[in-house]
Amino acid sequence: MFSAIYIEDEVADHPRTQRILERYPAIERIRCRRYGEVFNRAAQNFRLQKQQPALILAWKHGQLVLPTPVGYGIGGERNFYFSHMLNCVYDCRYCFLQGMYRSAHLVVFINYEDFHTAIDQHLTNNGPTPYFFSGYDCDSLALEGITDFSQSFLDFFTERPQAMIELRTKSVRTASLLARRPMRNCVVAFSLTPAQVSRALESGTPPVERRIEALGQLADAGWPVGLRFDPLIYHRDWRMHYRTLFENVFARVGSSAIHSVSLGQFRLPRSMYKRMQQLYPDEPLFAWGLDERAGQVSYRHALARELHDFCRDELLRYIDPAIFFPCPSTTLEDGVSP
Amino acid sequence: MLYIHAALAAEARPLLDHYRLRACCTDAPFRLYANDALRLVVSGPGKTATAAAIAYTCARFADELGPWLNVGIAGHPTAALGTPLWVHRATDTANDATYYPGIAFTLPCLGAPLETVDKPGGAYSDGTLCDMEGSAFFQTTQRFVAAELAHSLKVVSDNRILPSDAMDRQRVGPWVAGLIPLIDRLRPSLEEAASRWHIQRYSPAYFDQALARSRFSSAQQHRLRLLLQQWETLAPGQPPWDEDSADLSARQFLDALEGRLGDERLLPY
Repeated sequence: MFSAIYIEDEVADHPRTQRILERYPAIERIRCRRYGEVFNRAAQNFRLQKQQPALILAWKHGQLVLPTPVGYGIGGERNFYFSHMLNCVYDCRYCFLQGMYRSAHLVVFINYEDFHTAIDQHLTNNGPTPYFFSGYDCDSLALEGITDFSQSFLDFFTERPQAMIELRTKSVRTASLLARRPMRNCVVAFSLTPAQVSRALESGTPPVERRIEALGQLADAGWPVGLRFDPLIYHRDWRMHYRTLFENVFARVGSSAIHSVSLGQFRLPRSMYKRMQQLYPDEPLFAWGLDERAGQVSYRHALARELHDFCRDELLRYIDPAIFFPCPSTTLEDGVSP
Repeated sequence: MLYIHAALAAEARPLLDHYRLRACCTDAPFRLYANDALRLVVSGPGKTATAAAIAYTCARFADELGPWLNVGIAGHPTAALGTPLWVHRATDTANDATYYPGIAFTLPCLGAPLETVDKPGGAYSDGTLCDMEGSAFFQTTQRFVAAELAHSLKVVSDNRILPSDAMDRQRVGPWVAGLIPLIDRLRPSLEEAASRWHIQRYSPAYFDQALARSRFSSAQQHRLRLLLQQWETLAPGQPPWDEDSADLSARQFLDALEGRLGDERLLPY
């Protein structure tokens, strides 16, 4: 439950705002001029707010669609991301959002139609297929029951088959997807970690076995699905746990339904790592086996290489290399680390 | 340690009685009261007095910072006298500066915005509390503690029907006493939040001992603090050095400690 709902003056009368507010008649409503007044202010503390964040309803101005960082992609040449939300209902200790914002409140930008217009500006009738990623600064589906995000954006992308959209999530709220016809241009990608890691580091998320079941149901229904093993976490018995995770996933999800598989290192820009470590100095994840290289903090080279290579080799037992997309990381570059 | 700010002695009295607070720090420029778990400062009315009293208290007890609560009376255009309201936004009408407490818990009562004015007796704004201290309370406390640790709880003392110049001052005590159950209900949440905040500020074990063993430059002290925090997280209670490290220079010690942070035996999870 949200601690409060902040409402920008500009969106107070918007029908989408009204629909969201109707769901929460008992929560304190607080008006503000701009969401920046209550989000990411200097004295705020992410860890304290995360105990019971507020919901902020706001209007997104400025650039609504941005190019992804270099190397971020699942096979497309033109990659963009957009964020209809900032922050996430889950509390994953490795998540960069902890270091990105001082505030853990959840911001929902309710001007979806402006995002549609901005996406349209990147569409062309010929040339490489553009990919749009929606789960960069949030979980795409975790607040689906409140935001109706997928309904709005999937209707939009249904009419634009020349573009791909990725929904990235840990949520098992897939009813809204299962209720509609599957779309060849929508990849529903699940972030997965071994159950032992999930229990330790992914507070509030659905158990991994439920995510795998949700993946399976979507695949059975004909949706292209994505597997995101990101970040890889070094832990006790990691080989056995990752092998078991892959076995469980591929036992439930047929390879023909899998659009893409990606692997990502645990890596953070130095400044972000520093903020996260200051927030959670008691967190072992931020203490064990780390190294800084080229402004990025991640596992020491040998550890990262070992973890990555093992998982890559295991995954390639199940999938075609053509759908395998390891995320780039300086940690893996030979010769950079001792 | 919970800190309470009250502007007036009449607002403080029921709290002093209920929490059995005793006068302390008689050399202080403000009246300070305390027991083992709570300190209360009476500032006098107005923004300047409020800012000064809070800053003084925070500086005096800099090693024991904790959550702050402003408790007092306020006007409201329509709310009944004695109604408790939690401040969720405070605006200084002199400069339009706005302050938001960090709300990370379910409010124990209804909330309301607050306007802080320089002079009493002005017009009431619709749906808005009115006092003479609130904005200064937030502005000052947020310099010392996280925004989630400073809150203001008001009780309505006057409204359009019974304005402040007609207020019965004998009723201030019972009104404020009526806030005590709300304070007690929120106190565990605030104290828990404060304990999380303190974790972020602590000095790791063995820091002073390490400084005594070798000469660390300023940059090395930063690295030492981080490495010792990491060490304490992975190996709580274990000293960060062994018999062989007695003669190590600061740099050698830091490198050795960093190396140990990748020891498989300390692998978490």
